[in-house]
Amino acid sequence: MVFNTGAALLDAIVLAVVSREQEGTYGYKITQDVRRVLDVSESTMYPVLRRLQKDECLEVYDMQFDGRNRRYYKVTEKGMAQLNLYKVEWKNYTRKITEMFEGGAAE
Amino acid sequence: MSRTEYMRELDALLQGISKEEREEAMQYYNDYFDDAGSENEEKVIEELGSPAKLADTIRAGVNGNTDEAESYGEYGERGYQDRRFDTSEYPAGKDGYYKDSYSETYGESQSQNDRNPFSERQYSYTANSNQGYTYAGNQGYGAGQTTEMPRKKSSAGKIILIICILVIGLPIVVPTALGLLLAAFGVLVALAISAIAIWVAAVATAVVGILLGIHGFGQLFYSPVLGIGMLGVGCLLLALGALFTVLIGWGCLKLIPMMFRGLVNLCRRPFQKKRGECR
Repeated sequence: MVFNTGAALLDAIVLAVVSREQEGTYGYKITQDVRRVLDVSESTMYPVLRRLQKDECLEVYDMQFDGRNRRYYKVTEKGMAQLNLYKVEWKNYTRKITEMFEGGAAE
Repeated sequence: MSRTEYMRELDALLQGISKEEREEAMQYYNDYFDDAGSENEEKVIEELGSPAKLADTIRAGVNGNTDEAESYGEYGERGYQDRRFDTSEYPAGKDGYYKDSYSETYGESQSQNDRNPFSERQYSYTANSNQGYTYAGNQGYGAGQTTEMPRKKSSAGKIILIICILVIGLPIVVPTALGLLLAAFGVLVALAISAIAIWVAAVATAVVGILLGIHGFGQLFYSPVLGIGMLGVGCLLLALGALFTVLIGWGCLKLIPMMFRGLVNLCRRPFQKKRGECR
């Protein structure tokens, strides 16, 4: 992709990906899901997840899986609020850009 | 390099950070390898990069506050880019700008819903195209500068103008002000003396009027016509004297404060005028 992804957008994508799983999801899966839309390196996800966790947008819990503990991530209420804010902002942003690209037919 | 070696090296490289953060990161990447499956082990190691690079990324997220790490970092085609580890193309002071832009565009968005996390400045560094990352940042920085420059220039010009006015104006303004001040003082003194003179004259007139009246009353019995005339003139003089005495007294009470105010205003005038010119 020619456009780079800012930190806020990456946060929004991660929150969106995690919020799709009711029961929470885990690091590897989050990385794979994000990588389906965004070409980010695998080492990118951890600092983002860790920060979102510290910001209380994500909560973690450990669950037995395959005879080992797996760490799961779940979106908190605060995280949902943040995600909704991002969604609105994204809508406004893309609408403006689209209008600009398409010759400002509207308004 | 096997997974075990990779993780051991990573653990060693993460000694600098707190135990909690280290364990957290180690658990995450252990999970990651587990979930990727042993068949993907090599691929994951290749993707994650060297343990040193990964440790740098983790440490950047942990050290200080995480916001800061975020503001330096950027995610793009080449993966996570951290400007602090990429010193080649960036002019000094740029990081500061990024930090600002971050806190403005994203940092406060949680508390201020009306703030747009994807504001124009954010745009300047997310929407750079083929030219690469480095350019967009500089562009943003440059834009910030150009808006700053004219303001600085005009304020400098103002200061020079003020100095010029002071240097040229001082030899003219000071003697003029002094002259005006002395003139005003002279007028004031003259007015005061005149007022006192008129007041004395008025009092004297009244006194003469009273005396004339008394004399005229005495004369009434000897020469009624002269007596009545003197009495009348005396009454007239008394009335005039009293009138002027009262008028002067009232005038002084009202006029003197007014004059003082006028004088003070006159003194203030040159300074106000100068200030007005600066604006």
